[in-house]
Amino acid sequence: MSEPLLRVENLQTRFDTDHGTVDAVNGVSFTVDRGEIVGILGESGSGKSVTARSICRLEDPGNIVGGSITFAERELTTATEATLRRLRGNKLSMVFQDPTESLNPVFSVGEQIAESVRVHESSETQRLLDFLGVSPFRDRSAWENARERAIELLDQVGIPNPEANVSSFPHEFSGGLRQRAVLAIALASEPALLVADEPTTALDTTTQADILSRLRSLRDEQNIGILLISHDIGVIAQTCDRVVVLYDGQVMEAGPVERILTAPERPYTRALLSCSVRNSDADKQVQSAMARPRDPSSSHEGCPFADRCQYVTETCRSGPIPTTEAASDHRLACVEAPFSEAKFVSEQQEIPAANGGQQNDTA
Amino acid sequence: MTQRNQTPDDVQSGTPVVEVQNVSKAFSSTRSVLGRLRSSDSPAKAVCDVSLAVQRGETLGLVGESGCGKSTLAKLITGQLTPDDGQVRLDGTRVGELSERSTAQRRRVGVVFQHARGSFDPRWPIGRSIAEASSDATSASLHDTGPDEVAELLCSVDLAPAIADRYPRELSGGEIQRVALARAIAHDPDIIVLDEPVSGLDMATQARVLSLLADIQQQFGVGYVFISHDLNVVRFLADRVAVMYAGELVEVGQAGDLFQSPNHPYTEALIRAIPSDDPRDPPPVPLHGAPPDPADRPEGCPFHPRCPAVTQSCQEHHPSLEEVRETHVRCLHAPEATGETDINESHTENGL
Repeated sequence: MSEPLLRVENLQTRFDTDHGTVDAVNGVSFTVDRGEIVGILGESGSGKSVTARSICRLEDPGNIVGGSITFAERELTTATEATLRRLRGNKLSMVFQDPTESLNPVFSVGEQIAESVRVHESSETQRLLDFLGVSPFRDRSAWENARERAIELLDQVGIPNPEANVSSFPHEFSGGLRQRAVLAIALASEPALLVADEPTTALDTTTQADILSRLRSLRDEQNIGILLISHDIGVIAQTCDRVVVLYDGQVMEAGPVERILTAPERPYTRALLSCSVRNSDADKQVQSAMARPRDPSSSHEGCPFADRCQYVTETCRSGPIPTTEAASDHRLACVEAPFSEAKFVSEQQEIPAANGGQQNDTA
Repeated sequence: MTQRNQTPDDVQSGTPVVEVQNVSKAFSSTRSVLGRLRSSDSPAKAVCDVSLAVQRGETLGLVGESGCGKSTLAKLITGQLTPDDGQVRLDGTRVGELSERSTAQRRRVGVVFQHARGSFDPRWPIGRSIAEASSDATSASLHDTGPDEVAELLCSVDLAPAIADRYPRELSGGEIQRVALARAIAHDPDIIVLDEPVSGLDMATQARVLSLLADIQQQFGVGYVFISHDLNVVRFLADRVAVMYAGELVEVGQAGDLFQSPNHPYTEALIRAIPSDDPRDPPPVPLHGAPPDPADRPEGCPFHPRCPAVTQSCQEHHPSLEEVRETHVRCLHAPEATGETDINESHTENGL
């Protein structure tokens, strides 16, 4: 099997704070290949965004203290700033949650896209000549071409009337249009991997559906690998091929979405799914067993979910939790796993008896 | 000192706690007087002729895309804006803008703003912000509100009393949202306007805040005007739902009916855009196009440029809000489209 586009192996990102060290990402491993969308699902504070930022090496003020990130056969954890600059926004693009913060308010949207096109198409010396403004050496036609490409990109991301909107400023756009413009900038360099950190969280559902369908067509038509970070189960379910469920900086369960989101074996994934308001209709009973997230700076042994897990046993707290392969391409970190579907169903029906029967089953 | 001026009889009585009657609000884009005289710009109509009523203990969900006028309508209710036309009534009494409302009237409406963190003084520990809200309402001095009352309020939103000494920046998104709710209930309102209270929170936190809202409503009998662009959240909490498009109400009805068999094509589009949690379900359907420019509204039905069922008459006639089955719908095709031929099986269950 050939090397995947992105391989994250046992990644550890740590923050040193006044209140102690926080292991925001603690041994996360996954891969993203070309032509697939991999989702990272988790609550806030689970380390989703830090994982994404670490991949782009924007983890500062945190530090990567262990593990490796291999992107396009290059090791990123030890790469120099110059190498990273060449990669970022070129083969590796990012889209963040808040488009207003990504766009420069004083330049038109078209210029910002054209800049991205130009930076990735022209050589370093040409850029210097352009910057110095020495007229005979200035490549003016390139800007014209870049502008045309910008219009093309605006059209591709679904901004209406691209010829007119290319000279609009970010403040003239609605939130949805701004996020589309950010997507256009990210796509200008024809990246191999797009890291999208909650790209639709701030948008209307109707716009979200459109952006998600565009991500799917990027995967299918341009064979881009996408890492999609979201806390919304629906977004992950309807967009991704595979999903990685994070909790407290650790991978709880990873595998194909059909499997993880319809028949999860990890109790945490189950608890997360039960939180979705979509799954709990009129009876107004959402799970709040998930209640208190743990203090991330406190050290712990064993399973991070142990305190909130209804299936917790002694083994869960006693030592590190091994990651097991439940099936090919389906990993989970749980000592009590695998939970069979039948067992879960029976336990759901008679929850009081759940703890009693548990240890025998998994011995 | 704080005493509920609500008796069980009030709950039964028909007078809605908040009622807006035919309110309209337009914003002018040019600021200067001279510019306004010169320019031929028509004002942006944010809210057009909206009538709604909310009873005590009831949750009214207000949904629509961004820019549809949800938040403007909320500000008209809270008195932050004055309507150009129409009136706002609290318990049947007509009220003006915030500065014209008496303290007693102001106390009746609580607000939780969309960006809750920005609604707290960053230099005050949150206990002081809550104390200010509860004492302000009774026009007592700040120090009269003891730490006990603040602790009690924090407990009622499921937070530890120790949190009172912390500053807004030290709290997580879910915590600050709950503190905002504690501050809103501090002055015993009859109704709380919640502007996107759970957007931006993750699923687990969202679930927590929502069940807390349901608990608070049961405990205090407060009514909610719940604004959200997320229909799932609205479906979970709301008794009735009002769908807004381009400043107008396009459909108002019982939440269950509205979600099971929407009568307006826009409501249907909103529902179809929700991504399902089950990966085997078909992907969400985007609604193409953008809402109309509020300063330049299209002729006829404002939704017609994006409507999948558009006809010639939609471009010419502006539909009125008519009663169809149990709901109110603003669509020229509503009576036919929802006739006996196009009713879901579920319709028979909706015996409301």
